[in-house]
Amino acid sequence: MAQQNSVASDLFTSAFSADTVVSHFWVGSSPFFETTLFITPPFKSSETQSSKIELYDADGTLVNELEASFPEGEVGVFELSQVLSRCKLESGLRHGHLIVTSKKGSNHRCRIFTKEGASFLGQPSHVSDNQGTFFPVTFSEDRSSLLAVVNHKADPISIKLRLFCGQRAPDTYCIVPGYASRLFGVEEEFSDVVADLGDRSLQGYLRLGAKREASYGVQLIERASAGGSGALYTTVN
Amino acid sequence: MSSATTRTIVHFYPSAGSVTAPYAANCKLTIFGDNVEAQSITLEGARLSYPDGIRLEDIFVSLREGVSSSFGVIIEVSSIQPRVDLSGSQCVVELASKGQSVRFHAKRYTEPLRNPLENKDLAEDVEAAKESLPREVLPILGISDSFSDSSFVVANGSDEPWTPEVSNCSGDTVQGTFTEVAPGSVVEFALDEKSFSDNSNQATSWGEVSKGTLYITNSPNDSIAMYACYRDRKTKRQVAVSTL
Repeated sequence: MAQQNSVASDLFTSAFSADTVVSHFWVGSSPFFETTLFITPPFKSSETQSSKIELYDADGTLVNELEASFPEGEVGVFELSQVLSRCKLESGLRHGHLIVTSKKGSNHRCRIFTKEGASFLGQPSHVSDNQGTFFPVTFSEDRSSLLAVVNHKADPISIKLRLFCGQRAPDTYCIVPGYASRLFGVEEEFSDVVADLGDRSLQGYLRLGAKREASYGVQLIERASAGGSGALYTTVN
Repeated sequence: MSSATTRTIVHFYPSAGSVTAPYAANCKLTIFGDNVEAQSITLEGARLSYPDGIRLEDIFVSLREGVSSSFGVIIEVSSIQPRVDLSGSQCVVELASKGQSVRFHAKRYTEPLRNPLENKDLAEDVEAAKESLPREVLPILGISDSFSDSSFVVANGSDEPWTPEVSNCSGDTVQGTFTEVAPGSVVEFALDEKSFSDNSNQATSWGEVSKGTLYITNSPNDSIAMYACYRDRKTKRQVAVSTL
């Protein structure tokens, strides 16, 4: 299967090598939310648009690779539950690293929705050896935060994650295999900082960096209670 | 935004790339809008590689007065350290409501070169070449379904008025209420489903969705920022904002 995928990948590569736009996303599926991909066509597009969609599971195994075609001028809508079902469970849900390749001028967006509502999943912030990133995070009893990481390269990476919160700045390291995705509960990783929060609310900041030759995307997903057992998910767009 | 239920927080991260020494950094915030007094305040005490943030109503008294309005904010990060490249700095704007926040990256403004070309003729040629390049076309994904309605916001921080020119995918101009945005003002244009629909409503697992793409064909200069905005259909609150 791996070899067949490699051959198929080469064929796709030759068709999509020039004038393309590539996007990396973290995508997930659970009993509580689903993810959908939207592909907008280039301006004044006069032909059927084709996009290559590759999905790597949480361990970096290519589990799905396909070409999706949409009529000229239309926004392509692709419900990812169809392909995420092949991903293994990790951190309690099926998730993976999605790579979308389309003709230059196209635009890719992912949307996450629950019973209560929908929000767009921003593209993960890109981190490389000379460019880190940061996220504001709110700690409170009605919110929780997940950090989603997708490794853009075939080699495993070690990422350093530091939380700035009040007078404290603890850090931790995480390993992400090649092409894999990982999900980290921020409250769990820094449980000492948020212990005994009670009904208070705390503002903190996560700072992420990378070692030489690493290239990865990271996104903060905030889950907020929406009354009862419902929830809304938002990210930084 | 500033209203009874929503406050704006600006989070910034002064970054000099591989330079990690905690040199001092400043953050200058300038607000503008139709119902807001234009004002600038510089925050000192920030450090390179240390994220920080401020709730705007804590420093701008005019925002505490309870007038509900949309306004623009310009965030400038600087350092007195010479030879420090701050182009890696980042900024996230948060519209905070009780129980939920919408966060998005602010549009980047590229500062002109500090050391202009010494050869004046060459400098003029460079500027002329830049003007002759085709302007970038900016797409806006329009969605109308049981969850969301779409709009786009123009924050005009420049000294001149600007009117968006909006087309559909075929290049036909879309007639709509895309009026002139005065200098120093912020306007949100609701996107009518008829204006963006690509006429192929799609049945999905969450219901029928009307979708399509609009294009801003006269992308403005750096002092004007545009954002796609998606509101919850029931509550009308923003659920996602993204830079165009």
